[in-house]
Amino acid sequence: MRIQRATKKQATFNMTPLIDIVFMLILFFMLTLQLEKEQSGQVNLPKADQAELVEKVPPKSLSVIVLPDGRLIVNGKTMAIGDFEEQVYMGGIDPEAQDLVLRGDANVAFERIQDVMRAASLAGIVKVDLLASRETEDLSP
Amino acid sequence: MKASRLARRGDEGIQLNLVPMINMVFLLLIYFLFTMALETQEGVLETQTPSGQGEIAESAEDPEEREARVRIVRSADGVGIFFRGWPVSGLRDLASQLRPLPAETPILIDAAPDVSYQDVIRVQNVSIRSGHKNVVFTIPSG
Repeated sequence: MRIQRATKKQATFNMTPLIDIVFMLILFFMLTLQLEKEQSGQVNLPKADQAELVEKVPPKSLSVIVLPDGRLIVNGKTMAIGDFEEQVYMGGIDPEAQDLVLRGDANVAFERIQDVMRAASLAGIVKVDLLASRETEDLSP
Repeated sequence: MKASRLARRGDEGIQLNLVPMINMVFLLLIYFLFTMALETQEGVLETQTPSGQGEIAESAEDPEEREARVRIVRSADGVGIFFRGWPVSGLRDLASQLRPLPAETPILIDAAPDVSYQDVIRVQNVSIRSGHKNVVFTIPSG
């Protein structure tokens, strides 16, 4: 009588579906993060193909974001233009700030940009860096 | 007999399933397409605040060279652009008028308050493209 030896079967684990799910999750989080960025104060920069590449932000700079509704985000704090001007008048701006780095929404009225530049001028800032998106635009009016 | 049975087992060969590999390649492709589409390059356009502009206006001796003023106003069909008081037909026309000027001539952009920021940047972009990096803005005293 022949005794049949039990054949050893090795358990295999298919990694491919696991990696698929991981990539799907990465894509999902990337997309949701992008949507959150739009709601958290990032603006639609104006297009200018002649804008020079940003190597690094100057260390002592005043960062101002001009939102589409005219509000400002000054060094991370949201405020109205009147509050910013008051802060400048009261000497609340860092006296060592040498540059103004201005990130404005393309559709905002230029008056708001002028207000920010005027206030920065009163704070003693001379150099202004206007951030733009390096995209080519048609020259037709 | 045992040896021949063992030898036959080895004839089965190794099989490689390509489908998961192609699956992974496509997933990586989609991933990189998304990351490249979402990334926009930022650049800087330099200018000066009014406190720095006074020096530039006085540095040129010739009054004609001193003021290459570009006026931007809102009109019924978009924006109207005027160079030294004369209307220009568009940005290409403005570029052709700016090009002959010396490179160190400061371009003074006088934009109406209700003009959009994009329109002003467009004019500054054209000025730089025409060889004039020294662009300043008029700021009302408020």
